[in-house]
Amino acid sequence: MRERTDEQLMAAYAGGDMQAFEQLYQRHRAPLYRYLLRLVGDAPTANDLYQGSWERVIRSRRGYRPSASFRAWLYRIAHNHAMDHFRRARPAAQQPPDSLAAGAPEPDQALQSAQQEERLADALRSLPPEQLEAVLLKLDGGLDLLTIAEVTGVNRETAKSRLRYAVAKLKQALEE
Amino acid sequence: MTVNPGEHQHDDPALERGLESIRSHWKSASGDEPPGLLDQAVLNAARREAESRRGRRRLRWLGGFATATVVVMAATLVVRQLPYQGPAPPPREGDGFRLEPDTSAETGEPMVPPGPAPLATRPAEESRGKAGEEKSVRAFSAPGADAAPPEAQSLEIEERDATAEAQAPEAGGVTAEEWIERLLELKQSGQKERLALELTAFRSAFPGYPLPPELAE
Repeated sequence: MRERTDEQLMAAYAGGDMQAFEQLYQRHRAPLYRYLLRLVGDAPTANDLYQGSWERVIRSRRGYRPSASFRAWLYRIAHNHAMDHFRRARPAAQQPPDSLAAGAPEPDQALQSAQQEERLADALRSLPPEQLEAVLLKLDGGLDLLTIAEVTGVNRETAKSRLRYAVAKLKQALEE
Repeated sequence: MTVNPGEHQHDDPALERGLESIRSHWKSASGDEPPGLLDQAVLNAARREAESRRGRRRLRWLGGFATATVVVMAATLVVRQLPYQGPAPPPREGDGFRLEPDTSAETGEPMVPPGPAPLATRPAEESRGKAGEEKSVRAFSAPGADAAPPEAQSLEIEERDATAEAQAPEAGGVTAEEWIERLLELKQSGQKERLALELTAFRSAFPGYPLPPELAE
């Protein structure tokens, strides 16, 4: 049987099909969680934002239109939720989190891999919030440039520019 | 924001190459997943919402059914009440009724019913606020019968009609029987001319009334 698309699953859940939601949730739970964890930098806040984002999805399921990409809708909700959190939190929280990789597991593999991860984490911490979010939406969320632009509320060129700067800095950090 | 649709998959070749070099390291550091309790909380919230939606649907259906039931019951009650909401409209001439002008309401004079002998008169007050067949019923009721309930009035009318039918007809305050006795006295006394005149008058007053054999000749 052909697998249903995200949009079909969401439409089915809007009609009361719980199994459709479970399937949809399984597809997006890990990427969304990682996006939020790296964005805010600490697991408890990421947990709150993660749960809050899904609750917003559940509450506003009737407002969802299958013509729009579910992934873009989900990440827009998560992005807006995170921005609300940053606005409510003290000004320091509006800065890039100090420990973007704090929620990541301790490197217990090869030393080189651990070192590269450490460098990647450091590079992520050094990114401006807009560039960080662009790269997270790209690598964790799997969104294209246009969707990143829509989610973050900027035009496509701005989103592309942010992503290009972020990639360059991360690449440089890994090659050092 | 103009976008080439073909750019969605490959946003920019140079950018994609840079991203590829990062992805391998990114994946190794991306083992994070939401805690199991968090998964459970989200799924429970979704389940509650789906069930409450089903519940709301059921309630909406029940609400609609209850509303429809109330509307039908109200309509039934209104239809049943309609015949008692007001007096019956007065009969029209086109319906085969002859309208008698009710002058009592305007002149204050008693309305006298048509017929050979007036059975009763109707006080002027009686006509106020009454209409239709109630008026015609009251027109034949005796004075002082106003206080009686409608059932008593109709019984009284029936009794009166029966009595009137049983009684001999009258002409000029004289019944047919009295008149016949007088005719017999005229015959016995031999007043033939007077008898002939009286008989003619009797026949015109009581046409078809049976005469005794001695007078029939």
